[in-house]
Amino acid sequence: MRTVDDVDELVRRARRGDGAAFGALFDLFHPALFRYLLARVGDRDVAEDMAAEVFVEVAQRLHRFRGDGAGFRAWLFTVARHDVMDRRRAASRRRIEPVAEVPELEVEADPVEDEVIRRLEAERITAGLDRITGEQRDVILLRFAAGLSLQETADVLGKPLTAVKSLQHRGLAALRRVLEGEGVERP
Amino acid sequence: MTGPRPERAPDDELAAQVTRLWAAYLDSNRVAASRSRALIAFASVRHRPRWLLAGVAAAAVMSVGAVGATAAAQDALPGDATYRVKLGLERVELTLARGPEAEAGAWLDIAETRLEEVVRAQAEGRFAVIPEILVRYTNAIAAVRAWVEAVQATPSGPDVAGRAARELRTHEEVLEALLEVAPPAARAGLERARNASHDAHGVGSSPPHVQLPPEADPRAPGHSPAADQPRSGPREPVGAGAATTPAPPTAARSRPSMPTAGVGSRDRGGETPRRPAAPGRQPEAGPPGERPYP
Repeated sequence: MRTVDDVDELVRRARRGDGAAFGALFDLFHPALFRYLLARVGDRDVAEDMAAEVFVEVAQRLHRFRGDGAGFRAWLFTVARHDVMDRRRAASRRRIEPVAEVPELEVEADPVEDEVIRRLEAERITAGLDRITGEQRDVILLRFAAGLSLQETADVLGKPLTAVKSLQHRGLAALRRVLEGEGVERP
Repeated sequence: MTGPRPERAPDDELAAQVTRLWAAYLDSNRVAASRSRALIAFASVRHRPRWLLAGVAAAAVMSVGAVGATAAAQDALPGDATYRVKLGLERVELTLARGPEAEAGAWLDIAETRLEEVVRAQAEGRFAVIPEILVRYTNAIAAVRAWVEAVQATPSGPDVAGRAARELRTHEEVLEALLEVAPPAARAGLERARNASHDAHGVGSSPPHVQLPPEADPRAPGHSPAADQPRSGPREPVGAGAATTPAPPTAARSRPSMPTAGVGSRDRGGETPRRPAAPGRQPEAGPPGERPYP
């Protein structure tokens, strides 16, 4: 497990052109970034491509980056959020209705009924997330899909910690109300 | 879901559901491809500014009008009309380099440029030029090793060796990334280049062990260094520092036969490594200020 100082050092070395350090940053942040993008766009292939593109964008601009490890993480997810918003704007310009697709989960030898339940759950929650505010959705996905801490989420969103806590609390409550209001009982 | 559900507040339970939902399995092959793309992009951005700076400096020496040619040549690959301009500018950079430390730095720049060319050729699908570039890259790495070893005993030796080690580690990462996505025909050359870069990490602290393609290895049977002398002979360091330069290690000086057209014995490309002078050996005399091209 890398410490905060380790990550800061990786960022410093990557800014100076150390490819091994940049590769280590990729290994460190890519899984969470992918999960976040998967949660936002709902399509595995698209999420993988977008995650790769985020790192390409970051690689191209890293020499101008002036922050530490926490700042790098925040920058990474900020780029991802903007890419998601750009994608949605482009989709709406093309007059294509974005479909809340069910994230494709790899299930290892689970019984069929568990898989069905899981997919139904995924459909419900994905649809529910689309019905809460954008800020609340961002907080929930950064916290629980990408696995960021409260402080890391605050860094990404550029908000005070107290505001993020409040958004998380209100977001979960709003999501729960939406899901219960749909009339589909949780398994 | 199976197993007993722990007692949780409703919001905590919902948060756990969201977490489980997106704890998705990542396709390791696609992650590897993504990683390669990112490293290649990283390498491309790193290498271009340095080359451009060197090219602009060289153009300022030659003429103002050459700036346009410099910019146009920046992205050239073997076979492009401006590739010879690019190689010529590298010769100028080598000419401008004063002293062994600057020579080592100039050869590192050239090695990085070659690596950037491999990255771009791969990205553009111009696979046929990659073997040629890789041979030039390996030659440049050999020159880096030679010069770094030459300055090993000087005060700046550790700094030069440190820079070389750092940059060559990055090269190795990029070459590993390229191997992930390269077509089969390019793999052997990429592996040789990667091995050369890897072997050069400890340059200055371990015996030379450069993996060179046979045609570029002066130790290979049948190799005739005299046949591959650059037009003006190897450039020797001038000035007081030359007498203290350590004995030259063996370095690749030949121009290997190239698979593509347009490359022949006259095409030195600024990449024929010049060897450092032996201790006590006086530099070859020449008119003051005249520094022969490689």
